[in-house]
Amino acid sequence: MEKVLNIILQYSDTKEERKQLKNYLDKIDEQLTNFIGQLDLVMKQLPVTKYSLGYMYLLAAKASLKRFQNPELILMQIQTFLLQCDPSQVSMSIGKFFFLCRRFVAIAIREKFAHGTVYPLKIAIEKIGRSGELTPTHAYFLQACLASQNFSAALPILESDVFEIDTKHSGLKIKDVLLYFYYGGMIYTGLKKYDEATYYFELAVTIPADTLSSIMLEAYRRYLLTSILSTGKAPLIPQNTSMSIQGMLKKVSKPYEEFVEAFRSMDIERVGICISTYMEVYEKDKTFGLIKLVRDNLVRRKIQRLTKTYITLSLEYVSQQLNMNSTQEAEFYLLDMIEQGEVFASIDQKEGQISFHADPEPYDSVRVSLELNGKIQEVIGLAKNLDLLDEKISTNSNFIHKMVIKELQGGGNKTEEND
Amino acid sequence: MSQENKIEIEKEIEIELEKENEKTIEIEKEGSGEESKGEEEKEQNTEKEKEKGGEEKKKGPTKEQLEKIKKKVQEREAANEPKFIKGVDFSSFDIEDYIEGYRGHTRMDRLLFIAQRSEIHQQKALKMFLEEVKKTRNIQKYRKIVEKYSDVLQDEKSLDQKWIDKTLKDSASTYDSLESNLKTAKENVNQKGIQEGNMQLGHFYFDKGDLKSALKYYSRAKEATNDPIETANCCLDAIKTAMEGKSYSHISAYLNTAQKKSKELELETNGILKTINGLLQLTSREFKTAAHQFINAPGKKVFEYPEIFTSMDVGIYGGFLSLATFNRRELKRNILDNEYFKNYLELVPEMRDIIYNYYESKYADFVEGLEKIKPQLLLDQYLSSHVERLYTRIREKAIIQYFSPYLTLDMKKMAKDFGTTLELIEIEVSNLIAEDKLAGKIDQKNKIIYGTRINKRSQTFQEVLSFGKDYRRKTRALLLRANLIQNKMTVKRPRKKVMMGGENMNFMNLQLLNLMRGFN
Repeated sequence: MEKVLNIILQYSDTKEERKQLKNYLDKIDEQLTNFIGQLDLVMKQLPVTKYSLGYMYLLAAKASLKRFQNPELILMQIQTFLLQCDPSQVSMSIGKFFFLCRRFVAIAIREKFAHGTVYPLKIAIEKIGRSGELTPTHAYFLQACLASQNFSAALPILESDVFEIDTKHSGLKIKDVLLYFYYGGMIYTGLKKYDEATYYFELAVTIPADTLSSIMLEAYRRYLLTSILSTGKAPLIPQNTSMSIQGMLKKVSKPYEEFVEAFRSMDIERVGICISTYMEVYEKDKTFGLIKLVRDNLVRRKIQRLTKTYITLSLEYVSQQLNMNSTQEAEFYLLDMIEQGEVFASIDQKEGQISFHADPEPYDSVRVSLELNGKIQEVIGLAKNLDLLDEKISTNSNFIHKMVIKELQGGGNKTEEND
Repeated sequence: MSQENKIEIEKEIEIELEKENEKTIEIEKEGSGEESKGEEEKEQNTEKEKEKGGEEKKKGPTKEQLEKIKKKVQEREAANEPKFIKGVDFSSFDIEDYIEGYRGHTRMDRLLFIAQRSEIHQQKALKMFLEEVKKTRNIQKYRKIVEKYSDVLQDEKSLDQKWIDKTLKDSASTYDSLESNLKTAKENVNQKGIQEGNMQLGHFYFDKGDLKSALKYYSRAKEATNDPIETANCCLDAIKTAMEGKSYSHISAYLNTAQKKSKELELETNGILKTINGLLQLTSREFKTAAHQFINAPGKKVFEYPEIFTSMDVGIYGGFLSLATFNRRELKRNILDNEYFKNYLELVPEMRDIIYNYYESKYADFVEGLEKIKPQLLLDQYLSSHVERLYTRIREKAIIQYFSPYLTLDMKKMAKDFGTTLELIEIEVSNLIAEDKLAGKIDQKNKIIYGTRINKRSQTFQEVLSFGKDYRRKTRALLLRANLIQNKMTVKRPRKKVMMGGENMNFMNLQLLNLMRGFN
């Protein structure tokens, strides 16, 4: 270990040296685990920022253990490391870095310390990721937020729209991508933002695939449920899902498909029957909470349908139509919906009448025009991205090669069409 | 299983299958057999077995399979069993008037149809049916109906054995002479004779009720000639046969052949073909296309093809379907301004009045007239099953039209004009609003409907915002997928069949792998 320490101390100043250091560390990596007991001592002697590369390897070796005598120590160590490490050094061996993050979250969750990982991981993301690029750390970060029920912390990252992918730089695996969107959807669900949740689950489901992954499956099921919660309509399978797995998805999700069908029929009883039939499945999949929310939603949907058709309505009629036990129940639901802004109405308690009003949004404020402007800018940016992508592909030598061959095979009659 | 048992069972199958023949024809295409139903497979197999002298075949029907077939046939028969139409007063319907315009087999078929649906007409219709069926050579049908309805037919209960015997003898001798004619014609390579001979045999089988063979001969006759008019005639005969057997794919095939040379056919024939096309569309519920066919069929002269439809039918079908499917502008253009179709509409003044009343917003008369012709439509072979659905549609359109000029409308008046109660009209209107067909809102307390003035401005804003959101999402998803593919990242099948190492291999993954193996 002495030797290792010395080498780290010596070879950490210039870029060249660090490269050599990295190669060396990679070689002895496996042996490091043999010196577990001494690692702490060595690490104490290395200031984190200056010697980030070396420190990282040592820390990772320690973190790869399955059990810890003093878990708080390792957590502290990783935390400090993340906060203080030098991005330029760390990015030379990015795989190790991600491994460290993963272990960080895993250990923390086991020790019920997930909330402590949220902030360090956020810093980690900022340090090593280029903006807008998806890294494995994103997935771990979301996992930590989810485990610690700290949903709002994840929002800034989620809303910053990470969609760039560069495997060479980030060492990203497909599983991380799936997990990112799946966790993202879960977090939005926790925040009751069902619209975004549906979007994220949909993204998870439409990832190119030859085979069904369990993550995708779970995402699909929740996609169905959150989709109902946000639009009130029964959803179809997302358009861009890979062909090969479309059939598989449906087959394996039968309890959910049936539930969606029952919802589509707008029949409260049928929904209830479906739930009791498949209750075990829902509980096992941990989707029972969502299911209950959806059932609740059905009642609200029905009330909303009524708003479309009527200007005034009697409470009696509402409770009758929706098979409720009393007018009080109808009133209760309506009050809730009015407060939530799902419905615009006023209740005349004496007469037992409800009057519905139109949506009072006049769309003529500064706020609206600012919003519109912002969105227009976004769209322009996106269109630019698309153009870039298009250009990149069409100037790609492989692509041109293929097109030329196709044309030659197509024969002379093609040339008239191409101008 | 012994040989005798087998032959017995085969005979039973044959009888069942012949019964099936009367309902559906499935002709085996030359060469390959269409085996969508198990019965046919069995039929083919039994035929083949007979040819090979009953040798043991691997796919011969086992006893259980036979039982299954029997059950299937019985179930299907039970499901398709026609029942009396309840709740409609058929007393205004006059059978003799109705059947007057038709000729040939369709008389028989329509009479049977009426007998099975209208309770008060059953006896009379059945008697008339028996008269008709005796004009043909279809012994099987005669037998079947007499047996089935023996309790209803009091005097004609017993089979007229004399007629049966005479017909059998007569058929046999006619068959012989026709066969020999055809043979001679073939030997002499007399093209015209061959064609005629085939036609005659086709007619013969048609009359006998063996629709399958009839079609066979008709198609041979068609191939023996190149003359477009003769081809069209053969096609019409074939179509007639196929209509009786409800074999719709054949009808459309023959229609296509006949209409290929439509320019060289007389206007009348073209009209007939178009009308038949309309009937075909009707059976596949393409109501609007059917309506167009019926309306565009007519020419200067009023035509009809009494073996399938009368000229009045054209008026009824065309008028009724247009009412159900056209909007106001189309109605005006295609019916009210259509010179030729008007001639047909004049033949059925009730239908004409209904359409005019609808167009002129005379709702009370309109609803009354509509109710009046309902019995007649329900007893029509081709329209009957669609009547209820189309009536609902027509009514909906009327309600929507009724409301369109108003900003506020009193529901009580509306109920009166439509001849229904306040509660019922409220239900109808609320359904229409919920389905976005009517733009309005109901004031339940005062029983008024308010037309909604849609705020175009806010609607535009909403649409724009939602469209923008949609676009952003779709584009981002697209960029993501493109990036993934560029980096060659997809969810791949695990390369090793054994469980891979990896800390996150949980139970779910295991189960999934098993499932996927099952799919393979």
